[in-house]
Amino acid sequence: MADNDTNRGWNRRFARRSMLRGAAFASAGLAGAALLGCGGGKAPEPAGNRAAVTGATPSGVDPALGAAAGAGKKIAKGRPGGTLRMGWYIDDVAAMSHMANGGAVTPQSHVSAHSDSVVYGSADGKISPMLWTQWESSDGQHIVAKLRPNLKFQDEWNSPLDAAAVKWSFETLRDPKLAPRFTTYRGLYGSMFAPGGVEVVDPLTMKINLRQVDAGFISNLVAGLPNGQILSQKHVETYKDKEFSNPRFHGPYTVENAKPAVGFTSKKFAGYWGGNEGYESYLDAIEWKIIIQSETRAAALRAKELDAAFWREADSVVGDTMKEKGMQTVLYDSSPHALNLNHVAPPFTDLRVRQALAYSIDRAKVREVAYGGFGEEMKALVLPFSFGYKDSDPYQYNPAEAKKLLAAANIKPKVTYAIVGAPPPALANKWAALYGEMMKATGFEVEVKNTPNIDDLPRETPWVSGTTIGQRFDAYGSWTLRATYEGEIGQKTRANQPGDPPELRKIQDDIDALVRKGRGTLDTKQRESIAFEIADMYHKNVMGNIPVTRTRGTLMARENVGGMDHPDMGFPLGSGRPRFLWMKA
Amino acid sequence: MLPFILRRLLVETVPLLFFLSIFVFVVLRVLPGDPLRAIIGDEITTLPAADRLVLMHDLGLDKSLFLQYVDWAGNLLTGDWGRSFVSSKPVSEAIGERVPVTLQLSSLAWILSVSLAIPIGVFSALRRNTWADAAVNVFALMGVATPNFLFGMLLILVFAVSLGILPTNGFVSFAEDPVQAVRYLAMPVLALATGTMASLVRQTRSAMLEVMNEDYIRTAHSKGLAPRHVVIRHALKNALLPVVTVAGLQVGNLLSGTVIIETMFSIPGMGRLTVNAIYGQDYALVQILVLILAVAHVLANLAADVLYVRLDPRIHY
Repeated sequence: MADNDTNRGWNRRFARRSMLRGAAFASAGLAGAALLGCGGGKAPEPAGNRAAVTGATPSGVDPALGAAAGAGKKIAKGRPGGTLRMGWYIDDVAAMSHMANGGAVTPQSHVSAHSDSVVYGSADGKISPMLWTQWESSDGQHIVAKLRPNLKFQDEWNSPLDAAAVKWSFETLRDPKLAPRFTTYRGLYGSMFAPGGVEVVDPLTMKINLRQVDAGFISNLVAGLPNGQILSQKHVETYKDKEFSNPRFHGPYTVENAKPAVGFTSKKFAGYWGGNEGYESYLDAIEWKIIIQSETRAAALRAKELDAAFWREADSVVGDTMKEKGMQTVLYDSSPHALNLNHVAPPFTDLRVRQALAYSIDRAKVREVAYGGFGEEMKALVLPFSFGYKDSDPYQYNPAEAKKLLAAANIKPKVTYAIVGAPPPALANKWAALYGEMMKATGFEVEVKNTPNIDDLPRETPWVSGTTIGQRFDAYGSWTLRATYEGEIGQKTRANQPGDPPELRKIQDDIDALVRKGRGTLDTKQRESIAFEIADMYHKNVMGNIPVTRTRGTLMARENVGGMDHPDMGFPLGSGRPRFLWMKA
Repeated sequence: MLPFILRRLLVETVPLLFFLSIFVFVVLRVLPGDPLRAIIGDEITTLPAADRLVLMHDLGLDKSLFLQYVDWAGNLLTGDWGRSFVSSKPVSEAIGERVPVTLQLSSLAWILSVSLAIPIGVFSALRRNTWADAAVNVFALMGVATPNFLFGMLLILVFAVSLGILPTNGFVSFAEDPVQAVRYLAMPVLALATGTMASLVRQTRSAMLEVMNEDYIRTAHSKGLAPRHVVIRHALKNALLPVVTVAGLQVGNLLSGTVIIETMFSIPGMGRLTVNAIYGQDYALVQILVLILAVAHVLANLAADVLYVRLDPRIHY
């Protein structure tokens, strides 16, 4: 974006969705518990902008507006009014929340300004009520959920956002003809609903019938499913094609003046959550300006044309700009970065070669050279706050060990380093140079090749590719996304095809069995131990990926912006939530 | 002249566009990648086969390549340019809102570069081997050698960040607000024009130096004509022929340059649209954009040819 974010390692959308799902995943740890018993419970009381306890959250412990207060953190009190001018970094349809395809909505910050999730996931990994005030399930397959009363759409009729609207959105928007917008329903989440999977019990109550027991379902609703996708039927049917450029959601802000490649304005929606005082955000408006060139975005911030700006990944421009006097910076966890490999293609079918590759990777160097020192080294494929996180990768940089393993295998491996994406991610060339150098140093022969998608390479190609990922950390943590993980990266790599080495097929089958077991296990402790087991199997056997670093997304703001100290501005993978921000003057 | 223009358009341009359209159509479809992936993202791998077929049918991608081309070309001729695969917007609308932006940017850059380059080139030639000539040469060399993105960034740092007199980025149309349009376009136009200007300065200077050594110039001087008259009426007019050729070709360079300049200055023009369409494998959009760029090149060269006749009465078509 794109954009530093034009990250088409697996293509751009992969990374965006990765972030999105990462957000869901961030709170996966509580999903089982939430499903087992009852989430939500007491609907939050509006506390108004005056709430001293909450500081930047206008509504006290209102989870819709942040969990910081619930965590007891003292943060500065906000001031209503004003317009925030925000720089953004993506330049394609995904830059516009109303046009972003369901899975490609990286920009959680602006998506969350326009529409709410049914449940909220905060930085501390807690799931709280949002549009749903409560939900319960006795079996992990059938969920009864209750909507907040008086929810309205932003359309001209102020249509009610009720159970019927949710049902219509969930079911109707799965129509493939509505691509690109609602693909998530068809592809990922769509598979979770049986036909007629949503039943309207009463105007505020719905029953969701999953195809199978799914312990991680609620966690995936945190950000992945509903953003921008619960729409007013009347508005969609009235405006038809025009609806796409004139969207009306239900969040705290309405999309106005959307111009592709320019930006749009988020204007405060008076009817948000029924117009009750206290639920609204501080800002009257947010002007989103698309500036894809990192240097120009920084210049605009320094020239005071912007109040704040996002960066997909911290880079040297971030490093320079954050030193400016008065500049406030939030570095938040972005996506994990890994080295992928086609482990079913010789010579990678030999575990020693895979292990040698893992030992060849100097994470500290990648962090320094590719990310200008901003990233963090990773020993797992999930971020540290995530469910199932465990430093289970046993391979630390050890070139001598790598050489020893290759000597033992008696192989001089010839591999292809694939620069994936059209365009490749911003850092792809740096990754290629770095990884190539490291691999050559331990005895690998490396040929660099560019390809739009990894699937375009023949299956027998022994490719290696550095990429910012998402799905992979879902692989052993979020059961509902596991199928997608297999679907997406499994096309060429999964050891379940004829001709694959039996030992790899066995490992993969064992992992699959554990995933099925985990998905059906509602006990959180048990699920966690299963996740650890899967992680161990992945890492010990180097099954397709080697964790390297995690990147740092960045929000920078000038001193006239308040609310940067709100914990959820640094919401992991969520790019921060501008509803917590306010103008000091 | 009219028959020449018609002949150029009918005999050369139409076949060129026809073959170009086939070439682009085929190349886009032969290149690795899946347009459905561009639309749907990686969900494509989990998309049920039936849904995939529906989408393919909807986009006409289930037909043979030949039929796809016939459909597309037929629709194109009837004014239906199709819809963007990615945004679902009509292609005509998506392009229509970007064309005026790029036209303003590139035409201003072209006008600026031509209107400054020719006098500077003449000035430099007339003061050959003086410090002024050396300064112009240094400027021209720097202009040719400096990438426009680097020059653009320097402009931003000086005029927007340090002096604060121009906006760092953005676009305002002349129709909307002429004063603001000038403010917003000043740096991008300058950044875009510099390379072209530098080339034209060098071209004009060398053409003038060559012409100034011709016998007819000496004759003109010996006839006692005023130096200004000799330079403008006799030397420059003849020196302009190669300059016009280069200036015509520079239209293409300027259009290519808009990709970088529009990105750097956040200008919502065709350059950015083209890049996004190519990366997004948005067939419908790319095909039309390539044709439009081809037409722009053809028209620029045609204009240069027409101008030859005005400049040199010996030329007849």
